[in-house]
Amino acid sequence: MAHLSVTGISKTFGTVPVLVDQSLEVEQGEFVALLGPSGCGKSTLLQIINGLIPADSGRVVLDGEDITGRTGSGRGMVFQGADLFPWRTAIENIAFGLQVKGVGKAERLERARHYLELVGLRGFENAWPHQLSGGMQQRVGIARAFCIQPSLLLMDEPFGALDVQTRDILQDELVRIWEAEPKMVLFVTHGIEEALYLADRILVFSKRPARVLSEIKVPFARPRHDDMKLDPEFLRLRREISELLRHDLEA
Amino acid sequence: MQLGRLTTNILGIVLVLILWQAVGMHLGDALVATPVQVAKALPETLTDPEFWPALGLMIGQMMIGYLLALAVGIPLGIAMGRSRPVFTVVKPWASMFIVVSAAALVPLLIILMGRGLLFRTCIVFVATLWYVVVSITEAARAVSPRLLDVAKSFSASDFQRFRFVILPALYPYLLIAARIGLIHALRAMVTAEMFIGAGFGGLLNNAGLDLSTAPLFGLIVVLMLVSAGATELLRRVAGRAAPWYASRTGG
Ligand SMILES: Nc1ncnc2c1ncn2[C@@H]1O[C@H](COP(=O)(O)OP(=O)(O)OP(=O)(O)O)[C@@H](O)[C@H]1O
Ligand SMILES: [Mg+2]
Repeated sequence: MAHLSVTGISKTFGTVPVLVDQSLEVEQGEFVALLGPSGCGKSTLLQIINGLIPADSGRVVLDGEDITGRTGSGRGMVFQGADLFPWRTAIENIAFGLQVKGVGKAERLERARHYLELVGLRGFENAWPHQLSGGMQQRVGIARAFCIQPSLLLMDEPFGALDVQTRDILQDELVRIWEAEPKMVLFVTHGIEEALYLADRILVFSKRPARVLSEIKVPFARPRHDDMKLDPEFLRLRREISELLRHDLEA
Repeated sequence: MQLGRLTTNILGIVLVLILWQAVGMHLGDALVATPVQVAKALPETLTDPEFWPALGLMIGQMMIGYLLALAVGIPLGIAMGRSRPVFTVVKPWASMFIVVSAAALVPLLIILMGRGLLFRTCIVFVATLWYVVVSITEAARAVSPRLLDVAKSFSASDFQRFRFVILPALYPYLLIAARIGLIHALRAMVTAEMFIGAGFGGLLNNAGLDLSTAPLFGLIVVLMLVSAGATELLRRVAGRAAPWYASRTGG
């Protein structure tokens, strides 16, 4: 049974406390959005869970295994700017995680091709990253993370650098792919609508040091459609979260 | 595009030749032989029984020092770029040697090791090594920390990060260093040969004593062609071996 349990995480940079005793749980197949003001510590929390930043204290347990301070095992990360390797073609980028694990060339390329097609990039196997648009690059970034079949997907503002239309398209694509291969997701975003549209549950964080102001269960059934953004309940939740964040910033 | 560049190149060369011709006709061939006079003298130079052996020997002997400089300079440069202690120890020497021109070292090296192959190899090695070290160091320091983090989050080991991120990121710079290093090597070799009056440098010395400067300019033109030909060859190797780089820079 897939499960993420983060307990008592604290982190101080120099003398600045960024995270104080933060905990969160994610259940199997759950899509959780982390929402909060800029600089509150969302990326820091995500990188601690990812193992790239060491926490001062606290534990990260994934599927029963203590993975505190270690990268890899069970996690796939999608980065904000896609951060593809410019010297690898699209399919080689997607296959990267498998290559690191020592999967043979024929097998890893075959598995990478599956994900390349899943994100709608058939025909672009051999394109270099600089030949792809920002949206296509991020599709490769998503495929690269899915390709290692992690039980937890970490995404730090993956669509933050994209224009609105491309972002809307990729949100739908992400949900489609995730429904095909459900897994736990932690999705950092600034966008209230994005969080409501994508997530099962939203953790709203305060300004630094980050603590959870409110935990919101998103009541909309899946599959979701664009017109839910006009639903009165959607609008009410959007206003509620936005006021919550504003009050916190003014406090 | 490609054709346009070629046309501008040819136009540039033609302009220089016209200018050269004008200056030469004004000053006379004892000072500056005109391109026409050089072209007339060239067949005689090229059929001189000493010419081809001298050129071959120079290039052959230069290659030893040049290849040694690459073999030592590339690993040393990478080590300096990626390791603080190595950088601290080697950097002062690199800065010191890189400002000393090859010509300044020639007398000292002759005293130390005579005029033979050892001396020539040594002067080429010293003149090329520090250039290679410094440029590779800069490139190695500039390897994207974000891409290293991407690799790490896919649980790449230190060796895998070297093999899959640092080396490919350095690849274009290795080829640039090899190209510019070759020019440094050739210059040092000619300087050394002129000092000891042997080989191609010896021919240059003798031509300098001639009443007409036509043969001297002929030799200089040959030298320029050798250098331009070799760097063009390396540029093509680079374009073939690092297509992501070549197609991005349009080279
Ligand atoms: N390596 C570091 N050294 C020092 N301070 C850091 C470091 N990384 C982050 N910080 C600080 O920690 C705080 C939280 O940073 P973090 O990147 O986690 O914020 P964030 O919530 O992701 O913000 P944004 O929404 O703008 O991405 C910021 O004040 C930042 O300046
Ligand atoms: Mg952030």
